[in-house]
Amino acid sequence: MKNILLRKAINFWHYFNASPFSIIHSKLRMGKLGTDVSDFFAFRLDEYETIFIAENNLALFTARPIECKHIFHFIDDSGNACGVFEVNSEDFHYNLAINKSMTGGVMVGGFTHHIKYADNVVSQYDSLLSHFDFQHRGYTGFRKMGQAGFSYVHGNFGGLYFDKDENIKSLARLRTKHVYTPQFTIKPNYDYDFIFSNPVNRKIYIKFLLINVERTEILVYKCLAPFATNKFTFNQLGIENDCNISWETNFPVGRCVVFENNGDYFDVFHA
Amino acid sequence: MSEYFFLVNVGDGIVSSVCLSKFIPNRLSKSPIGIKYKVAIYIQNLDSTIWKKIDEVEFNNSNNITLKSSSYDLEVGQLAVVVPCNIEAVLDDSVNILPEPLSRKVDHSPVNERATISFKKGNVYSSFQGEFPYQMSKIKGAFLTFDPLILGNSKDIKTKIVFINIHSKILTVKDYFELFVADIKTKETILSKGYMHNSACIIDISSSEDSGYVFYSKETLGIPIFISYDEKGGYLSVEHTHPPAEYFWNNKIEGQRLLKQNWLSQL
Repeated sequence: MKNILLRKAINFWHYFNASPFSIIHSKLRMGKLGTDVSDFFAFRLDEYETIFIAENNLALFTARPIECKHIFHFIDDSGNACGVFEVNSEDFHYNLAINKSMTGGVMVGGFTHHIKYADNVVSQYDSLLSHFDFQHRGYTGFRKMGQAGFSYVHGNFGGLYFDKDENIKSLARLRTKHVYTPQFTIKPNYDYDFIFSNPVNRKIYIKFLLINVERTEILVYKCLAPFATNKFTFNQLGIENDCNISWETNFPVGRCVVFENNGDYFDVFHA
Repeated sequence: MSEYFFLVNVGDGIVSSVCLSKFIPNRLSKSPIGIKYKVAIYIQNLDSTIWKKIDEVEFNNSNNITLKSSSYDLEVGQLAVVVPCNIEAVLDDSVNILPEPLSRKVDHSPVNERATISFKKGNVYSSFQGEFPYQMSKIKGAFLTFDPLILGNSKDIKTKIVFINIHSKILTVKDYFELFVADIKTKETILSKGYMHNSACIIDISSSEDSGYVFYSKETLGIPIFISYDEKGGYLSVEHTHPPAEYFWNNKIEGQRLLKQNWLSQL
């Protein structure tokens, strides 16, 4: 009996430490907490343009155009609200070109996407909506000024919502320290920007590790304020051969947006 | 959970590549930093149900393995499936069931075991962290996705949708399927293209200014990849769309089932 209880306790501990979101709150319907859940997206207007493809979830769900209000909350690199933009659309997707007037002049930061439907729409689809809560993932597109097209990353992590008093809340949680290693190589003579967003109301600490064939070395320590989005740039790391990079955080999944730049072209992807 | 990866010849001088490291993608700090494994590369001719092993690659003294589609003689639409395997596994040259990929997890940390999947044309390249889930290779289903990544593209930009379909179980016959493109508003079919088990269906498509597209197959699952590029060689972008289940915070599977039902009943 003791062994069974011990095994159950260990299993729960593994499950708890591997859960990126609040175990209790994730079981509740969003109707009890807020409206809908958004990933935490990054924008950058420093040398780059950013667009966002927002999804009209109920329209996509029901396969018919339905008017909604898209609401975008912009948050600066210190985690403070810096702008809100709202627009109505009945299309399945809405393309938002992000500009400085929306972000309060902030050049690099984060944002969330939420939607609201009119009361008559909510009533019409009440039985359907009573079983589902929507999540906003969307796609963020980046291009350098004057480039032909955008390069996209899909939303990945966040669990952010606004409560009835319009305060930002999060279902994301910090756990035991984890090390995340994207499966790409850091190349000599390339520059890298790592954009991290912090979707929790506590500071997070990031330890970057550079790995070559011989050894692993600590590259730098960084800190992110609650709800902040920061860009960490690594220029000319002085490496002679391809290396790998890891980072240690208290997120069970510590992903970020990576920009790789060789001077002529850039690549962007979710780590 | 374990994952396959893939190289594919998509034509037009675009080379695909896969980069894997020996390091665990996500782990507890106290867990081992990496594991020993190798990768095997299997192809299936378009008219065959037999997988042929065409390569085995080990890390040797490197921390990374990078494989390119141009290193193998692939026809347009043909896949080379990259299978992580135990370092000591003895692999047959010819099999009718694709080996189960080795899991690279060492603890309970959550994350799909991804690779960098890149596409390059000339000097321009783009990548994403991706995979083809082993579980998906064993089940039947219907596929549906939308085209938000090409909405509003200029006329100078070409786009390919590359629909990756891997079926790891034994096949007695190679079936023929169709991938359809329909107008997202009118639901009318615009075009379709055939594909076989274990191949990539590649459709060249231009951006629609006033509407959008929905892509679907009622016969197989698969991973959709959008490759947008200009012929001048100054731009290339690649990304995969997320599955409809991701529109839902809770009841993801039921939500996806109903969403597909709502669309496919009208298509």
